[in-house]
Amino acid sequence: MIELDRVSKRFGPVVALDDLSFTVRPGHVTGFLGPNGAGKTTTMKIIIGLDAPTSGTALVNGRRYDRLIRPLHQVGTLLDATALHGGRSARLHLASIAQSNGIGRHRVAEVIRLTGLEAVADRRVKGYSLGMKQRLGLAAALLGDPPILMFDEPVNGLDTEGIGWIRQFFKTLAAQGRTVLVSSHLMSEMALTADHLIVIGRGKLLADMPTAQLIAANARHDVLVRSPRGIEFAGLLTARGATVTPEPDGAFVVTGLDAAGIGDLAAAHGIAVHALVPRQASLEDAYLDLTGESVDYHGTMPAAAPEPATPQGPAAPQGPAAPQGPATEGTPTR
Amino acid sequence: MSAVTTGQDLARAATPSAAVRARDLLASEWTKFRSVRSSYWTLAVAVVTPIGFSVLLASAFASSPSGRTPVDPLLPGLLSLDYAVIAVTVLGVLSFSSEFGTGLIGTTFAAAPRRRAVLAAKAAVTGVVTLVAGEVVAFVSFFAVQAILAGHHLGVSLSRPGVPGAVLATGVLLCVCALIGVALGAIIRHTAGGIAAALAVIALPAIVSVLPPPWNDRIGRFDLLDAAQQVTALHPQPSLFAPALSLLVLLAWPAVALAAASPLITRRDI
Repeated sequence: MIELDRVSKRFGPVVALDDLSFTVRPGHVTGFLGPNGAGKTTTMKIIIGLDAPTSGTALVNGRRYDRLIRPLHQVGTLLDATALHGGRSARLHLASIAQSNGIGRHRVAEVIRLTGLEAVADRRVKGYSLGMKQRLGLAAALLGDPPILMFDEPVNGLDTEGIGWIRQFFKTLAAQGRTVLVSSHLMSEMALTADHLIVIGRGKLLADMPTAQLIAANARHDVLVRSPRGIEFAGLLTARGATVTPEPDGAFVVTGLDAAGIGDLAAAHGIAVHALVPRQASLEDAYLDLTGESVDYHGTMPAAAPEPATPQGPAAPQGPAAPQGPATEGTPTR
Repeated sequence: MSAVTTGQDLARAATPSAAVRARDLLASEWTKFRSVRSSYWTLAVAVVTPIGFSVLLASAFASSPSGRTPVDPLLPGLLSLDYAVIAVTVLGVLSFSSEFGTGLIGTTFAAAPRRRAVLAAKAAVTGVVTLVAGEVVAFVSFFAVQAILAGHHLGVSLSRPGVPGAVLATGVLLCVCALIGVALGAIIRHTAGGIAAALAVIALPAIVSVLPPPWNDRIGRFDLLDAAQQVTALHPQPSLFAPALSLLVLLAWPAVALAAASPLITRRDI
């Protein structure tokens, strides 16, 4: 169990975390989502005592992390997979961490096996791919067999097979009753991995709910309708209990009645329909809805195409808000 | 993967004694030290260059027109330490700065949130390694230098009063400089900056020697290199502190540096 109680963090004038409170419970994978610079890494650093909060408290299993004796038995963390000394082998890297917490050699060998690094464990990590470094970071987090695990962007650098493997790995860890917190800036990834989602933007809590509920709450189902007798048809639809929202180009968006119902209604009244497009907002759109105003780094579209004709689909509410644009992770000050 | 742990195991894991925890951290830092090549290269420089250099210096002393200028027979052993001082200082700085540079320090402090204990463990490992290296250098240099000087009737024997202490103290100097490096690495957190700062701390105070007397000696007696010369010389200068007091001055430098580093690494964010 990880508990944050009104945690704020300032770096000079920049507010990295703003009165953030949430609880991460054992037994399922909790996704920690937010655009780049939202404060995910800072939050994790505060949880394990690397950064001190300006105010508020973060507790792991009811205790402050920096008060723990041999903390790796309580919490395993992967913050930055590339934080390695290139000249050291994976085995000795893990051994040095293990020794600091009184963990024996056999456990080092065990986590090497668990993460599939046996073949390369005695090579210097300088030559490792990012995916191998992620596995090594995972191995280090598992050393103390801890009930709480935190991973910051663990999927970065993994290939498709590795991503599938790590997803299953997280689910297995959670099924064993552990608390698993996994951060990501990609909603699509978290939708597949996490049972519960905590979404933050600019250091503020935006959502804290089960993944299914977040999708249901934010996903839209509507139908785009275009008809030469639009105004008349809109009246008929409203009479049937549907909600009609006009679009600027003369089309209108209908909710409360599915495409079949709308089509039948049109046929019954002999009204021609030129377009009948069922639309389903993706999870990614729900995420953009949530975080749209809290993206620090907006990408801009190339100027060549001034008015790219938006295809029939859900329009992102914030225009060119692209959270995976400039790939600068971390707080704005660093 | 869920290892079956008995209640006894759990209890032992929950409350290891302070001594056990200290041993764990020392083992961890020792593994880090011995698992990278730069440690061996730096130590090799620290050991080989001063021995070679002291032989050259002794030959130069021996072949200079003798008789007029009584040369301290222990001086070549000290003068040749310059490169070794730089090497062990780098070694000390790297123990922290390499971890800050790679980000590994986050892993280290997450595994051992009592950061002062990490500072102590790094200082202990670096200190012991450089003390052993320093004594090897001091004694090998001593015997080599005295063998050369003996041919010109300038040498001294290890059995002469004051000599064993002076030779031992020569080795201590490397340990002292390495520990200053550890402290400055923890304070500055960057390799280049840490090395520059540590070498400045070691060498710059000698500038007080240009002050008008008696201030050059009054302040200079607190200078690290002057204190080192006092404890390693056969004929200490009367204007400075006596060797025993100079040894305290010498040891106070790394003690103060580490004391300054301690609150900083505890308080700062990673």
